[in-house]
Amino acid sequence: MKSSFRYQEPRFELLRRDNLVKTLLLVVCAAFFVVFWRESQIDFEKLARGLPKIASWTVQMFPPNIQNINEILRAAFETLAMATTGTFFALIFAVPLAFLGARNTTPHPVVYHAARWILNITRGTETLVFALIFTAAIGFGPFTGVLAIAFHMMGAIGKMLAEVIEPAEQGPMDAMALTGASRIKVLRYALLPDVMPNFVAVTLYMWEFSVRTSTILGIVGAGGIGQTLKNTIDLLDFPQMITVLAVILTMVTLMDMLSDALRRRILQDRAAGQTIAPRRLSEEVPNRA
Amino acid sequence: MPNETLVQSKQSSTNYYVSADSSVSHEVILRVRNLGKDYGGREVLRRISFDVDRGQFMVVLGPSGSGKSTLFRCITRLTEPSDGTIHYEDACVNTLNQAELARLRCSIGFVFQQFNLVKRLTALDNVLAGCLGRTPLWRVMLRRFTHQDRQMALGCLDAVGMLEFAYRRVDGLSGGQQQRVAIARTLAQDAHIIIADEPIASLDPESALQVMQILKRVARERGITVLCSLHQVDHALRMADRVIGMNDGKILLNKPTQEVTPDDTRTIYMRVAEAAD
Repeated sequence: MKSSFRYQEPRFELLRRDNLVKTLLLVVCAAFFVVFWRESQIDFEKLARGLPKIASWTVQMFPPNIQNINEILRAAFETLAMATTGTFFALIFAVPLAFLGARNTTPHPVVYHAARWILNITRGTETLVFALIFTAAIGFGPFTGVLAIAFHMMGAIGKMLAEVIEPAEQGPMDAMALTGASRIKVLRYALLPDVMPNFVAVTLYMWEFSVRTSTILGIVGAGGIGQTLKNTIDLLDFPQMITVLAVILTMVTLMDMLSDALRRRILQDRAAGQTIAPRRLSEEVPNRA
Repeated sequence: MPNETLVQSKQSSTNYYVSADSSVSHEVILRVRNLGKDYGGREVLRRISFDVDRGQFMVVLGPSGSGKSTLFRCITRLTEPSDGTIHYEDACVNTLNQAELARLRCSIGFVFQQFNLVKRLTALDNVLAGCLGRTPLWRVMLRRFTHQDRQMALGCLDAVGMLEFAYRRVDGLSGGQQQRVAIARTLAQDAHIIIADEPIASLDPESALQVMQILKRVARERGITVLCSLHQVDHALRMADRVIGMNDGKILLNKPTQEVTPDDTRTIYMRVAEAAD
């Protein structure tokens, strides 16, 4: 249907305040990008010169050398062990810190800021940096890797858990508090069941993340398959290198798939299909006493 | 210590049952005097006073924003009143410290419009939440309640007709069923008074009637006092012993239900209509 009315719309004016601000913002962003580009010394010619080398190495990788496969698998297993125990230790400290560092569960604003500060510092320091520190302090080996993962993951897991706690429903907690239950009972009974699926999902995700991170920790001497990888790179032993890379890739992919499937199941959060009901005994057995 | 309080409350609840049944005594369970509340100059409650007798079913009628929720929140000190006094049983609610307040709240059951159940727990677990106040911390942490408490909680579910749903998670139940579980929770608390803030406002008419009938029945059977806010005049007249009409933070009407005239209800409705304008 054709309308018989005509309408006037405001004209676009570049000099209007909000348009001007937008334009200015765009110019500033572009300027920063140019500066960063130059700072990064972008040089595609260099890349073009290096590419054939990589191509020749790739060719040299075949046929892969699988003679030391047992040793490599053993290193992969060590990596998995490191990541898992590291995440475990991280979790022990992350859970209390998360409750202290969530706005709705913290006992006091000062505690909140202190907890957040600890979480931010440990999360902000990369696992590799912790690995360097601990290698210097306690020497080489997988335990160094465990400590590095534990420290970084404490912050990373703690922060994510706090973010799970903060949007939790307040109503049930109010209701429990009104039954005369103490704060800690309220958190246990009203909050914990609510956030549990997310807690498990976050932990699984972070575990998977730890496995990926710990594949390189060996490079600085903190144990695991990274050490094996570094040796092959140092010796330019390409047939061996591709075996190590394949093992890493397989392990990480399997972990991804496992953690993904588990998380999806948990977050679906279907109620168990329990249909059993309690029976009223006194009706069936009237004179029980 | 927790056992002692349990025994005490059990005894006293039996006494109330008798007094409510004989319906001769007019013991005041809740006395509100000159209660005022303002939020930054905006007066939500304007010095209101009323009494609730033990065993009474009191309905507070009034439009949204008339101050019913604020009144209820003040009685339990979820919100601090600005003015006036509240006496509940032997206690002056205004002056209690946190520990005393927690003990007092053990005997006040609260029913919310939004049910406020823990969604991922079963109906039985939600009812057992009513025992939290008197259950030792380690039992709460492990969620291991005594056999006695579990039997009692099942009895409460039975009383609201929800026994067969005891092991079902509450997020799979209908609104009316959830509200019945919430009522069972107050029974597990062994509450002396149930304060229900718009308990049926988010239910369909059929479930609403059922929930009101169950609330009325369990309250009568166990001698529990009820203070319930509603929108619906017909429900109020059918259920209440006494009706309070509120608007704009004031009490316009406070009468036994049988004395409420069509004129009175019209006044409330008129005021409602005015408030809506």
